[in-house]
Amino acid sequence: MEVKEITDANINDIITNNKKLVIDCYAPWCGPCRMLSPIIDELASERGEVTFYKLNVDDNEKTALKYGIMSIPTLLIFENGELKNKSVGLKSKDEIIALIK
Amino acid sequence: MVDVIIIGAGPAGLSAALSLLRGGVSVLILEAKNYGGQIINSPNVENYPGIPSISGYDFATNLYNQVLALGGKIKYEEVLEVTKGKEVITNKGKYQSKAIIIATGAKNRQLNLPKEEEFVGQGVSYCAICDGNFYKNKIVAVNGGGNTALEDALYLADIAKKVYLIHRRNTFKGDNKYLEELKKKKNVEFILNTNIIALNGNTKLESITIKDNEGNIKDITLDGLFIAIGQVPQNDIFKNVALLDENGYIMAKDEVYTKTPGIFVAGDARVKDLRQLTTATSDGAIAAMMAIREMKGND
Repeated sequence: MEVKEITDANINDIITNNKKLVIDCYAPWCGPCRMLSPIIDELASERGEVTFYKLNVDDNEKTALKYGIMSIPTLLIFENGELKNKSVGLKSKDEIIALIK
Repeated sequence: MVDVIIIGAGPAGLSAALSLLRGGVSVLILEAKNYGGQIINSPNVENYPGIPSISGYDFATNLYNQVLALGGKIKYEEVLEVTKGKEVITNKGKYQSKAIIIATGAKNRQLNLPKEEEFVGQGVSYCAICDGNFYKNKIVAVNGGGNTALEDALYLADIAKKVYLIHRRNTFKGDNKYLEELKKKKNVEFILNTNIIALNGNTKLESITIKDNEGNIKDITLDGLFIAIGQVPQNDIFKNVALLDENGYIMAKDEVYTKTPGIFVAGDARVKDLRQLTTATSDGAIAAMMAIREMKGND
């Protein structure tokens, strides 16, 4: 399942309206991000209880600034509207599963 | 039982798989993290013969799909031990094979300072091309004296307000061409004969402490530190089957033979003069052919 894109404009609604949420912050030119992206798509299909979205940091600088993103890929993990965890760098599928447990 | 186990799914390991599969040999690839190896960090590869330009990610993914299409199997498991009897023990299981190809590559060398890992993505980076854009008009430092450090400093000089180039010696191993270009940049300051001894900050990197060869210590306030002090192999688990040099690289005879019959090495993991994509894929092909030859001899 290909995960949908969000932007600076709708990120706040998304954060408020999802119980458990993972946002994959990426840029199209970033190799490790492209490597992570299909893993996020796979997890979105397998993990119904977690909502996944992607956010392009080149086009959405406000969010990047707000969450202090200084390296990509970065995964922002929210629970009940609050930032619970921030994971920086390319991770294996097993590592991400451990993060969202 | 699988014929050959390949440890590592970077260019060397995947190239070995390609040659083995084309030779009618069954292959299991074990990869601890993600396929592709370090090349996926390169936005543009322009020195691979026959391919004018390709991103490292696309190169790795093409090769990966090529291997899967030929029937190659990959499992994402971390190898913990390899025996002389060609058994491989991972965090998830045990596998017996007739031959093994070690292609575990290398990874970025760390400073090994407190807070270094905590600050990755919060001011500490090992990839200027990847993270440079987050430091527009900010103050950064590059640490290192090789080509990677010089290229990183040049790249960052066009983005950041100020770039300190910190090197523990007063001469550089990197190309003079880059050095001359760097000297022309007004926002680049060289700090030589100096080591970084501490990373400071609460939730993110705010300053570094440096110490020169005469013992003078001072702090530099900055937003980002790009560490480019070389690579380290990850070969400790192979000590019982392969000889390692003082830096931890596997010493190979005739390029790919370890001291244990039936166990080969390919790519950045071995002692070699030139670590490039072409030499990694070349090693993979040679190791595959030698493994096939040795298995035939033993049948």
